[in-house]
Amino acid sequence: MSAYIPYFLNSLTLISILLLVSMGMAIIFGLMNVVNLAHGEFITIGAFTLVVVERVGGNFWLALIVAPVVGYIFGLILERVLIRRVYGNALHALLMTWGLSLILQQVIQLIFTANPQSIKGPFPGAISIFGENYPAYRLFLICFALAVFVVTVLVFKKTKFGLDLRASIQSPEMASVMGVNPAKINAHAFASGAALAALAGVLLAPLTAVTAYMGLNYLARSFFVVLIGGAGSISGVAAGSVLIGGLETFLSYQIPVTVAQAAVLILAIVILRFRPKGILPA
Amino acid sequence: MTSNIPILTLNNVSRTFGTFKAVTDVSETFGPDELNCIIGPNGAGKSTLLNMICGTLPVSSGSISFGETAIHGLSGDKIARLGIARKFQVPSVFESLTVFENFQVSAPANSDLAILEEILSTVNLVEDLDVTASDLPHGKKQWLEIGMALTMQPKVLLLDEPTAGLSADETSATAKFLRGLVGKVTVVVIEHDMAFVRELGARTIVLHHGEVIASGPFSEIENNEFVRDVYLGRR
Amino acid sequence: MTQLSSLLAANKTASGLRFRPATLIAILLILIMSVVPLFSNAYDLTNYRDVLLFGLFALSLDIFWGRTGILSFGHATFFGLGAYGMAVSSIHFGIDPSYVSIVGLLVGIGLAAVVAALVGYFILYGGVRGDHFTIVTLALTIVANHIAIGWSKVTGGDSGLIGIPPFSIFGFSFYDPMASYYLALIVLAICLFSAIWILNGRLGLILSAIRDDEVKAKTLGYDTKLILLITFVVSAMLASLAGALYVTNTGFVAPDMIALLLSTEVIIWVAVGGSGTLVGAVIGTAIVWWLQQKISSISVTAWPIAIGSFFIMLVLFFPRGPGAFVLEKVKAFQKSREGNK
Repeated sequence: MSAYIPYFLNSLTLISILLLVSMGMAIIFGLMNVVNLAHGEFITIGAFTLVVVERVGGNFWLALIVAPVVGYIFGLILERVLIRRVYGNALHALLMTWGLSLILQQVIQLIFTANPQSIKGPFPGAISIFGENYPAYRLFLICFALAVFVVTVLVFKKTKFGLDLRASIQSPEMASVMGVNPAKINAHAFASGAALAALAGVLLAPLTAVTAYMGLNYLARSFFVVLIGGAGSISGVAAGSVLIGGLETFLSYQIPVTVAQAAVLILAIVILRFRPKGILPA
Repeated sequence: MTSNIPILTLNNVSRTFGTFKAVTDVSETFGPDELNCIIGPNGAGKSTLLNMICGTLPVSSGSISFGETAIHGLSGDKIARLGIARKFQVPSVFESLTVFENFQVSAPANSDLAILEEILSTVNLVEDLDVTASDLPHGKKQWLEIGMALTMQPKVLLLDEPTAGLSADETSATAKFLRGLVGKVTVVVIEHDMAFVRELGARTIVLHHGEVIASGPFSEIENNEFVRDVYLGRR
Repeated sequence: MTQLSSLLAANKTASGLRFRPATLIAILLILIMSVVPLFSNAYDLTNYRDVLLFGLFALSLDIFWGRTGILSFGHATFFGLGAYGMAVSSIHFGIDPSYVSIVGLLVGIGLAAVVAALVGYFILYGGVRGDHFTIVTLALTIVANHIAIGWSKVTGGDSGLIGIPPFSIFGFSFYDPMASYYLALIVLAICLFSAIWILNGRLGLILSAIRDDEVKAKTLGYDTKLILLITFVVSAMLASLAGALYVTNTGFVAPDMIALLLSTEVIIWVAVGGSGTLVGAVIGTAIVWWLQQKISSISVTAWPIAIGSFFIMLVLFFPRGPGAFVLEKVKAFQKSREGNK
């Protein structure tokens, strides 16, 4: 029995990571229908915010607060200057955000060099669970991801902002008649997505090599989490994360990790054949 | 009635969307080369019925046959190849192609040019041969789409509101044109413009809340109390 | 009626004529390229040969993207499958050197065809189109790249494989730069003219029709999914042909030949030449290659930034391609001059 505990916790860790990186994607791609190929770089920006905060003497907890703010402002500017010009044109959104992604990667690498950055995560120790030692930070990550998920779902289901957003996506004309400004709502929604991605970046940083290209690892997977979960529903992200994260952990016990990641994406393509709208469509 | 062997048979055809019954237990037969009209208020299930015949929507229950062949469950392109052509409600033509190229795509490969030119002149588009479809006015797009359906040399022609957005003159030209098809091809027209349906003077089927409430020659339908009530909103 | 017949006949020739400029440009391009070796040294020639093969790669993408309007972000997968198919079969299997190139070519193209058919079946028959198709193909390149790096026993991992022999057939080896240049040129010419000929015919019309309105094309009796799938597979096979020939020139294969950056570079090549023009894809490749030489000589990191900026400019300033942009400006200029007179 106890042999299954680390396995189970590893699955939960990966599911939490996917949940974190995909929630921003669920807003920007799932709800707003903007294909954002620079999503990975939003995550990278979050991780590098941690690097900068630690260099100037701050710590992880400070970065956890600063990064979403940085992501939000960055997202807001980006939306106002570029993204709002490509709403409704998937091809243009795709090309533009890919261009952005390439530029951001290079700029980050120019500033911070290509070497992985060293960072100090919190909780260096391990905690004993049912007699098994497990890194404390990962347990924290699992709880934190769950909390972020619950809060995000509540914001989108229960608050006026969430309602306005869903209204202005369904019918911008109707929404503006009702006194909602769709342009403003879109800007804030995009910025929130970027903020969530940046937050994910900080939380990921202690577990992975922090480089300019780190975001790319999560780009395809977060798209698939949203597609498989069902674009348009925030709660679908949980289903998508559980499926993809669970499968990947299971497979990586049998085959090399890179091949496991590949196998999961292939399985996801197969699933899309039979459930083109995802497993929990909106 | 030209013949008694039906070319298209609907047998207890139903379609539900969730709990909503869009079409319920429709059983009808259409003879070869007849002109038929399906009328009914908005939301009566006319377009749903058409979509099921041409395979865009699967049936929830019941069966549809074309001659002896069951066609429900076949994909749209297979049904089209059997000889069922369809004109959509919103004119749907290939916008980036010219009128002639639209015809080339819709006509079977190696079609006789003489047939194409006959159809071109029937739908009055000879002069617009090289015009890109997106530049055509609405009325001509409707005609282009009807022309495209004809180039397929179908046995059954389904038309979804062919007069939507047409002027009075164009509408009566359409009615005259459709009457001219009697004896050549089985035509099923969906309409809610009563003046147009009267001009067609065809066998008419009335749908209401997804069910057939009357069918017969238009003159009979016109005098049916129940149908009048439905149209006046009394039921 | 007879008047109409002659009108229709005239129209038929007219629609043939409408594509003449592109065909003429293609003929001119191939003619120019066939005399280039007379004026070039061996080193430049090897570069030009690579450009020809990249041009073939760009052509393969344009056949699918340009005609169906569906963008594949995964074409490097097929280029890479051709490259790795050739590399692995010529290095690992100990095949007789006299026909190893043919086997490698068949393995590479076969792999690409099978992968394209499987992936294409699952996503095209699942109804995945537009941006979702692009994302799935993007993931495909990531998967392929993961496998190329992770499966090092076969692929050589990060460092790739070295020692691929020059292309040879019936005992004749194309090791000489001149010979390999002409091999690339002949293959490109055959593919280019076949593509122009086929796509200017009925199939081209049908693909345009599917791009405009797939549901309508279906009601006209076309099996649109099958037509899209076949086009995708053929396009993938051409990409793998380019990849397989490419590595017989370089002599090695590396994971950056099956990577996302290459997938996006090929999009730029096609976009610069104007997607859907076929010959434009080849010309675009040459222009971008030349730019890349210039920019990379300034700084290595400058190139990805240049591509990135180009993507953004493409969307903001010339959404229909730089070629169309220049043409419009020229037309507007001519009009204003006529107006002044």
